[in-house]
Formats: sequence, C-alpha cells, structure tokens
Amino acid sequence: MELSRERLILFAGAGLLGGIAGWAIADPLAGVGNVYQRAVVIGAVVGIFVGIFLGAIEGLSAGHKNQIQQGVMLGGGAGLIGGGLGLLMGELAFGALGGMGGRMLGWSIFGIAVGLGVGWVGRSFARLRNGAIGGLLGGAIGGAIYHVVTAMLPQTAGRGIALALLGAMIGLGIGLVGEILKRAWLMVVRSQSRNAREGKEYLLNKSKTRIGRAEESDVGLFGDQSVANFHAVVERQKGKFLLARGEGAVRVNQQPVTQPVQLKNGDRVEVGGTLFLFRERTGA
Amino acid sequence: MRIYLKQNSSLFTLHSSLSKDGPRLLIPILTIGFFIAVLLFGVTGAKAADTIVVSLTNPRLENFANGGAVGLYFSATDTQGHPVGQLSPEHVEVKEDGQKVEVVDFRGEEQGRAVDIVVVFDVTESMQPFIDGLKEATNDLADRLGKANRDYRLGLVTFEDYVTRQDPVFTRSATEFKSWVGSLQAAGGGDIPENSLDALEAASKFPFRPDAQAVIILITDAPNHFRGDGSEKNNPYNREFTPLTVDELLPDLKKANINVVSISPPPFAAPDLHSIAKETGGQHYNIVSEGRRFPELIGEIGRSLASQYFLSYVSPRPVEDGTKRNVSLTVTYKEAAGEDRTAYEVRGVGGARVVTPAVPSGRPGEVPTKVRSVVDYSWWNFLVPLLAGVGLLALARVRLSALPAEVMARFGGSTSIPAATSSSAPSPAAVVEKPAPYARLMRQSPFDEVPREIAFSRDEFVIGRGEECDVIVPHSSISREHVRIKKLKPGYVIFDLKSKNGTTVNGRPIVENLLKDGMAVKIGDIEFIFRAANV
Repeated sequence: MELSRERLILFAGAGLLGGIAGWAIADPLAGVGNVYQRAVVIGAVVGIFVGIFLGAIEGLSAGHKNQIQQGVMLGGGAGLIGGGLGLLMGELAFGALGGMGGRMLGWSIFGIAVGLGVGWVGRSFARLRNGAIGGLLGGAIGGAIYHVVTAMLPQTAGRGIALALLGAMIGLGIGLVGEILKRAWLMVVRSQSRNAREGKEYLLNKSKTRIGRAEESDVGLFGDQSVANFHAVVERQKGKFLLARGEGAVRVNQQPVTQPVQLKNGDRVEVGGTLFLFRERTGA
Repeated sequence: MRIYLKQNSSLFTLHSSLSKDGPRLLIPILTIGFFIAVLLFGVTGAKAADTIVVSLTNPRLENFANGGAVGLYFSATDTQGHPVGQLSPEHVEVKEDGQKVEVVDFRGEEQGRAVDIVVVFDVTESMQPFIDGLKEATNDLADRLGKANRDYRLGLVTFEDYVTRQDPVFTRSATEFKSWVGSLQAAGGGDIPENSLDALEAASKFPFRPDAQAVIILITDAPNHFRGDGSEKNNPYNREFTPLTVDELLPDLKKANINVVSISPPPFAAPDLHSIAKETGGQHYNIVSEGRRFPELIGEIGRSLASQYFLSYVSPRPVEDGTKRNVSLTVTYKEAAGEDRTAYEVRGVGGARVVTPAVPSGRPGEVPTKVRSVVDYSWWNFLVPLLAGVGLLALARVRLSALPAEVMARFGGSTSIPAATSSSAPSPAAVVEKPAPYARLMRQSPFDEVPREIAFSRDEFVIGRGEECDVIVPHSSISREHVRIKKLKPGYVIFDLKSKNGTTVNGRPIVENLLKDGMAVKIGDIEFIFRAANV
C-alpha cells in the first residue's frame, strides 16, 4: 500500500508540537477548581493548540494561505469544544470506566472533534469521515498512553511527555486513516510553482478538485505565471476521475485536453509548468 | 503437620459422603488436591505463630478532594481468625507508593461502623448440615456485632444451579434471620458446580447503606458455574447456567466496595471463589478442612468484622491527577506482623499538579487543610508554545516528500552530473537527468524553495523573485527580475536584468550569453545546468 510518508510525519509532528504547546499553557491551570472544571479547562486549552497545529499544517506545507486560515479556525474551534467536552465526559464516566477508560473516552471525543475540524477544511465528506476515524483511533491510543505515562511520571514533565505523545497519536491517526483510505491523488513530478514540491501528493477526495493559481484552489500552484487562476478541474463521477480544462491549457500524456478525459492510474497530467502523475488505488 | 493430615483425611470422607451428586468426579480431584493441601497447611501452620492476617478494604476517598485524605478500614486477625488485641497507631505502618505516610486519624473497635451482611448460601442437598450450623451460629454472630457496637443488618440469598431466593431485604433482627434460614430446604443439585456467581451478583444488588461496611458471606461446598464451562449439557433447557465469569463480576463487587468472605472448597477446587475473597479484601475459609467447626467459624467471622479499625492519612500526592496509587498497611503486634496491600485511583482525567505539598499535622482527628488553588505561569510556559509554533513552520518547510523510485525511473533514471558543471558543487541526489523534448535549466543547488527544473515552455520569459515574473524563484540572492531568457535564431539567449548579485555562465559574469547544452548557469547563488531540447 502506498502511504505518503510526508503526510504521516507532518500530522504526527504537528500533533506532537501542538500537544507540547497546549501542555505549556494548560499545565499551570492544573491546580485550579475541582476535577470537572479542571477537565474542561485543560481539555479546552490543549484542544485549541492541538487543533490549530493540526489544522494549519497542511496549508502551511502546501503554502496555501486560505487553507492555513481555515485550518486554524476550524481546528482550533473544534479542539476547544471537543477538548473541553471530551474531558468532561471522561471525568463524568470515571466512576464507570476508571482512569484508563475515562481517559480513553475523553481523549477519543477530543480526537473525533479535532479530526472533524481538520477534515472540514477540505469541505469533503471523505475527509470528514477519515478525520473522525483517525481522531478516534489516535485519541483512544493516545489516552491510554497518557494514562500510563502520567502514572509513571506524575510530575509536570510527565504530563508534557504524555500530552506530546497524545497529540502525536491523534495527528498520526488522522494522517494514517487519510492515507489508508485515499482513493486517488496527483503526485507532483516537477513544478515551476514555488509551493508544489516534487513528490508532494494532492488527494482527490472532493467531488470537484480545482487546480490553479487562485487562493481558493484545492491544488494551489502559486508563483507559476503559466498557470491560470482556475486552470483545470478533476471531477469525481461514480468513482471515476475526469480531468477537464478550466481557463488554462492542460495536457494528459502529452496530448492536449479539449473534452473532459477519464484519468487512468499512471497518467501524466501537465498543468502549466507543473507535471503531475495521476495515481488511483483500485480494488480494495 | 500430622494433626492437619488427620483432620484433612477425616473431613475428606465427610465431604465426599455429603456430595452424593458426583462423588466419582470429586474423589480424584480431592485426592490430588489432598497432598497439595497437606503441603500448604503444613507451611501456613508453621508460620501461624508470628503472622497477623491483615485485611484491607478499598480505600475511602470521600475527603480526598479536600487535601488528599485517604481512609482505610482494616481488620487484623491471627491465622485462626481471632482478632489481635487492642491496636493503636504505633502498631500500624502505612505506605503509599512505598513512601511512609503519617496516620492522622485512628479509630478502634469501640467506634463501630455500621455493617450490612448478606449471607449467600448454597442449598443443595449436601449442604443440609450447614443449614443447621448457620441457624446455630446466627445468634453468636449477631451477639458479637452487637457487643462491638456495630449497627448490623442481615440479608439472605440462596442458590443451587439457579438463584432460589434473592429478595433484597435486610433485617435488623437475628430472630427473623434465623427463621429465614430455618425455612430452607436442602434439595437438588444434579451436577457438581453450583451457581455461586449469579448468587453473588444478586447479593451485590442489595440496598447496602452507603456508609456501612458491605459484606457478603458465601457458603458453598461446590465450585462455581461460569460462562463457557459447558454446563448446558446438564441443563434440561440446553442453556448454560450463568452468563457470568469472575472477571466480569469482580469489578462490580470491588466498585460496590463489598468484602466477600468465602467459606468454600479449597483454592485448587474452586479457584474463582478463592480469588473473589482475596480480591475484594475478604477472607477465604476452606469448607473441607474447617467445615466441622462451621458455627464457630461464623462466630469468628463476626469477631473479625467486629474488630474493624479505621485510619486516615494524607496522601503524599494530595491532588486528583487521575493516577493510581498503591497502599500497603503493616500491622506489628507483639512480635507478630502482617501486611495487606490495596490500591486506589483518584479522579481527574485531565491531570493535576501538586500545588502545595501538604504537611500532615500528625495530630489524630485533624482534617487536613485544603490545598490552595494557584495559577502559576512562568516564562517557559509562553516560550514553549512559541518554540512549538516555530517548530511547526520549520516542519512545514522541511522537504519530506521524494519521488518514489519507480517514478524517478520513469521520468529520468540517470543521476549522473554533466562534466561541464564540474566547477559547481552539485547535489547529486537532486539531479535527475534524461533527454527531454524541451530545453531547461536544471538546479544544482540544494535549495528547497527553488524548482528543481525550469522548463522552457515559452519562447520568452523572466526569472526572478518577484510575483510578476513568469518563473518565480523565491531566494534572497535573486533579484526581483533577475534574468530574461529569449529564444532567438541560434538558440536560447540569457540576459541579465541588472540584477544585484549578477549572473554567470560557466563561472564568467555575463550580460547576455547564448546558452549551449551543459553550460553551468548561476543566477544569484543558485546554480543550474542548461540542457538543450533533445528531440
């Protein structure tokens, strides 16, 4: 199975950094109020940071301002709500589930919320679903790790390590599920744009994936004057992927595209100064 | 040793005659177990003189939120179940996670705590002698509890392969309880195991008072049914007798803080019942070896219940940080000693930090002072998120993607460097070269912001750092508009656009120059090789 190492490292790394940032801000608050107030405060603060970091990373890596903005708002908001609510639920369920179960439940809810927030950036159902599953998995595993680490290292540093690992697990979960369930993607072979690096993959998980120089593009090719604002579009129809030209000229396997063409695995797609390879996972 | 041996063998015959249900199976089991029992009894018998059996119930955490107070109920008996004399704080040592803690409150027998007891009784035929024994012992039990000032209530559950009585009713009257026991009829059986797990579950649903000690006394001479024991073969309805396993039942009993005292077959014959007693902080008595002194045994249980102590201490970690802590209690009394362990888990799934280490006053009866809530930021709490943010930006810029080998192979397998560029410092891995039907500049420097290849897709274009250029190379050494490349008759010509850092071809600064295949072109600090179209 082809898994893009890049996305896994990006998401796990962003989650890790988010967890550390959240820990630094949340830890001084760990002495306030009663258990419920603390659960909400700590969950919400850690949630904001992990959410923002995970939401921003894809846009940052793609050099895509719009995506960064959306990711920060959606990820942060989802993290805030999911973290506060999730940990509160975990605390309420403590009697029934105990520490381990409570933490797994609490951080899973948190993970789902962050996954949904990050997924919503792409406005695609598949991304939402993948985000939620990944967040759930990462949150459950991360919650268990959190429990074990804080039991062994009950000091501030222990919570730091625990939250870093928790963030990394949620990030990894979201990234991994996205990678496992990806159907089709465009891989950059070479590009004259300033942001599309060789080997970078753009997932085609929306019904319409727009390629162009405009900020609203799903695949933004910035800084390449030979790319039009709305250059081309890949449409998904009944599991098939059709490439159609927008304002710019497109070539598939060195043939100019006039009518929408169905892409096959391994097709080379040229958009301005960028050459993509179309990849599709068939079968299972 | 010999005494035990004799006692065992005689009881052994007594027991096998009692269980008419299936002596054929029981005899070989007990014969094997007999030798183990002799061994075990011999060992414990030798140690009995200097051993105290300490029995801890689950720690009480009602006051934990206000400064980390932990309460422990415990009893201390000798191996025969007789309570050890009047204990005081100097006889006990409490450790949490290996750290000795100071006992701040200690209450002995006279401040008896309420106790709710459910007797869970096996009423198969072989148990007839014990029905009479229980009736006889009830007065003694009630007496001892009453004398110890313990406000007791009694309840009764009976079972065979099914639970036959489970009214969740307690009585304060020993006489009424005796009448319940008196009406029991021993009957049935059919197979060896009986359904003690379902009966224990029914007993755990009794309306125990929240502040009372909850005790279940299980009395049976048979091992228990459990899910997956194949008991459907003996069941006329072709169903298993119980849907429960010990692992499912135990958490419920522990959560309800119930101590199960089990008078049941020895551990090797009924391991589940033994482990229930151990895990719930109760006691296990071997019905085979101790059955003959059954009424006395019940009295002893009453005495051990009556001799409950309570102590409280302040946890060294008085915060609800969601962690589990191990507690051990050692009782030393007249050269004898005993220890029991338990554990508790505090709330707080989000975690918490110790703000002020609590200093226990050491005076008995004093409630620990509430730990102050403090929000405590220092410089690193803000520096760390900043660094994390910088780290995120760096992570986004790191080159993590690489073309898979198969793609490399398809779009240019050779990684050789042209001889013409020997003057430059090449980064071999970055160079992919293959004849292509278009002219291009190929990068030699390992700068990630820079395209690896600039394909000449038009006849005239400008390369520079500025947004208005046709090919943008965002590098600080490159001017806003750095060079223009134009296709003329002889080929592509490069024009320097009065750039700050200049342009060189094969190491020579140029204003304009005709490009030929293999020439090293340096734009600012970035080195490229020019490759002509190769059609």
